[in-house]
Amino acid sequence: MDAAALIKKHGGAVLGGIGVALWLVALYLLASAAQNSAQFDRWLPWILLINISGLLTLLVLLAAKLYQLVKDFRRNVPGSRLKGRTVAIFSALAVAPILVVYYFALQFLNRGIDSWFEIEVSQGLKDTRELSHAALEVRVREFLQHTELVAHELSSLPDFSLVSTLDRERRDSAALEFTVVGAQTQIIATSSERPMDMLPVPATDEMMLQVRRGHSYISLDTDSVGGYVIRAAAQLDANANPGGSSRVLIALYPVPQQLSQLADTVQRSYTQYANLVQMRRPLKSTFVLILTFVVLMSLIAAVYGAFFAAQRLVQPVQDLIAGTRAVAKGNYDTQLPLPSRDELGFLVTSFNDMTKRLGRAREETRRSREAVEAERAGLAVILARLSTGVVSLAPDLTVRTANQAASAILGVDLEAAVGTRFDASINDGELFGQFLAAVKSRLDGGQLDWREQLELPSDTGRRVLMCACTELPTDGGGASGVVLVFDDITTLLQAQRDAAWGEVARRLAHEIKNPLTPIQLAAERMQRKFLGSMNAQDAQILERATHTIVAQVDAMKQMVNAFSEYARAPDMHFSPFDLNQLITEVADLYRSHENTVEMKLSLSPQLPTVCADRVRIRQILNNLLTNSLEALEGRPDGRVEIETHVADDGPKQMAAIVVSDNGPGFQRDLMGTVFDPYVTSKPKGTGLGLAIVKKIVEEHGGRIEADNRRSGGARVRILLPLGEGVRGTTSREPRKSEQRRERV
Amino acid sequence: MRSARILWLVAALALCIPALPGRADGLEGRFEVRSADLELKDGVYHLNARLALPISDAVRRGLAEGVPLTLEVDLDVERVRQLLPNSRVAELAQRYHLQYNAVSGHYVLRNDNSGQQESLGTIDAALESLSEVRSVPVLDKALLSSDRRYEASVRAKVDYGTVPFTFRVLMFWVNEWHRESDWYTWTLQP
Repeated sequence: MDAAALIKKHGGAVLGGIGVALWLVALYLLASAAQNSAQFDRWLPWILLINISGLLTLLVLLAAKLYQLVKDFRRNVPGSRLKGRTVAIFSALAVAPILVVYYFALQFLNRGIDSWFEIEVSQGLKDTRELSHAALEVRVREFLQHTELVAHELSSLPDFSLVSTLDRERRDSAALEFTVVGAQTQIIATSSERPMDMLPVPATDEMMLQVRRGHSYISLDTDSVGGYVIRAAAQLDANANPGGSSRVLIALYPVPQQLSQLADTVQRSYTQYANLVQMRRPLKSTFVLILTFVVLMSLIAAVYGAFFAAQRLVQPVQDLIAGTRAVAKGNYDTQLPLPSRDELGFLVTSFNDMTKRLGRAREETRRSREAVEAERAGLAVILARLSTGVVSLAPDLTVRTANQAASAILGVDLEAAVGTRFDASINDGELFGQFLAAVKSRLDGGQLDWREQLELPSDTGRRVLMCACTELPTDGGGASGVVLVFDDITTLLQAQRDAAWGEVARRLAHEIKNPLTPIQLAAERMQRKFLGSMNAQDAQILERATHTIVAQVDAMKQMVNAFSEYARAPDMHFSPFDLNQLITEVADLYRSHENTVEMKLSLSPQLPTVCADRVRIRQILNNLLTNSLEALEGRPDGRVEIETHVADDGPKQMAAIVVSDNGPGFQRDLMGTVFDPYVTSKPKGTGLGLAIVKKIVEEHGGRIEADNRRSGGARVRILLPLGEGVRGTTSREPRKSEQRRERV
Repeated sequence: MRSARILWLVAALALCIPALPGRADGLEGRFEVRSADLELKDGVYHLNARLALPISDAVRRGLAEGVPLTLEVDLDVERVRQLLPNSRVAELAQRYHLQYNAVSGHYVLRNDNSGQQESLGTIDAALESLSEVRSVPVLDKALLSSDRRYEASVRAKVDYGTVPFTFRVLMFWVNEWHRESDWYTWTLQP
């Protein structure tokens, strides 16, 4: 861990520790200053500043904590109520003893200071003072009497002779000083033990006033060096004075040193006690103030400590709540800091382990889901590209999945029906209805695994579906539904049938056409050879018979040629041409026909040029119009309509030719086989017309459909590809010997 | 619950009541310099001043029991200048100390500057003497110029007892141990 991290982690604690230590020192100095003011006078402002700063800092910190707690409480922050209760309990536990101690400390303080001023102490001092007075009183009286005696002796002396007498009297009485002053306190004569050290004691107003009243003056005074002296004054008898002036003797007597020291001690004690008495109230007030300040600081610190302890205690709980919420929101990476190694630490460790395991489980689930999704997407792509229809059903026949091929085969949007019931949500579509009925009858019968070919008749023809049903297993072993796999094999069957019929036609043409020519030649020869040699009656019979043979052979040739035409190999010559123009030409030919059928053309001018074999297309039109006209024979209101337009067939655009009439239409039982050879409802029809049409259309890569109009009549719809138009059909160059011309 | 909290608060306040100061027993009343002048005697200016001391009955009792009273008289003489701040010519701090001597039964008034002291039998005489500043030599006339104008200011400070500075700071709201008068200023024309 680098220095910055260390400072960041422990800086606050170190600063807090320094602050607390400084504050404690300041508190100690404040208490010391109260006891020894002179020593701390200089530092008192700083001591007070530090203490007040500490108090303000604590108050601010506490206020911030309280504000944060109240804010969290109002916002219902997790853990705030627990924190509030913990702070209250800790504060009560800390504050109550402090207040009790404070109360008793106040009592002890007050009583302790009051005990200094017990009445006995005061009385003792007073008694001491009185004792001192009594001890000095005797000596004072003696000095006063002596002063009066000296004053009496000096009264008769003139001013000029006072000095010598004063000296003598002073030496005899061991006085410090004798001074005689006049009425205006002017010094008349003086005698001093230390004339060089001190001036004569001045006469005070009080002294002179008392003396003038006729009373001697005596006083115990302190001198300037701290000792005691006795000052006495007595008036000299003015009557005995030759000058008659008023004079006063002022005497200064020393107090013995031992007595002076004792008196000084008494005075000092008295003064100290007086000072102490005066200090009594401020002393109590100051001590109580400091004590209150200390207690207040301690209380705030205790409450702040309660916040700190509560935070330490509640923080792991708050972390756990926040972590639980984060996990509930799906954040499994949540890791809580380890608060300690106690029970809370164990809880946090367990939580962290739980989130780790949850995170791993979620990661594994995510991977599995991604794998399943990838597999599902791949399967969906395969199903979408599959030409086989696939539908999976739940046990209640709810469609789970369906691919595009299923929708295309059944003619309904099964992909949109996913999630709905297979048999209830889809109602339209005749083909689908038949398919559904066929499937449901088997499922209702308990058949869950089967494979069958379903033949479903419809308006557009018979559809054959090869359908397989398989039960879907579940993990528990029960059935979770079925999957239907089906394929439209109508075209395949039709192709097989067409191929079979082509083979039949080819063999018929080969086997029948070959003997017809000898038969015809034999009949004609027989007619030529025997007709002349026979009588008229026989000749007539022969001629009629040979004619019949030749005519029937010719009819059979035509039939064989038609078969040959059906079975011949494709010989296509594609070229671009205007389909509308060709239709108009062919229709005009039939308009000239002697019939009453109305020919109506609805040709789209937007139809582009088609690339096809013009001769074959003309043959198609001829066959279709012939069929329609034959169907309309005998109907006075016969009408044939030919319509062209551009039609969308999946991604490709096709040229659509729709030929319809208002005849009887196709018989319903022949709807699935109208394009098969020998399928006809006409008494003279060969049944090859529509078969050839279908064959030509398919050789062009087109598609043909036949159905009946709702208003009555047949309708044939041909779709030819636009553009190149060739699809899977090879063309070869026509042989020179072959004459290709359009048969009109 | 609420009443319990109020009881706690009242109890806490009650604990603090002893900390509050009670009846004042120190300096009380107006403290001012009533009059002052500089008297020229023998070429020296002497200060005469009359003070009104904030002495209450409690102070009198305290003095009688030995509590000292200290008086400081500050004098400033400044030369008045028009645009510039005044310049100080002379300053004086005269200190007096009054204390009762229990042994002698007299009030001892001591001039701390000169060391002279006076014993007075009654407190009234002592206070009268203390409130009357008489003939304190201040300034030689030669230091003043007759064509200048001067201002003299007197202020007095009184301290009752020996309450430590720490106590006075901590009990800053109690103004009964130390007082200062306003400056008493007059013009001095040499």
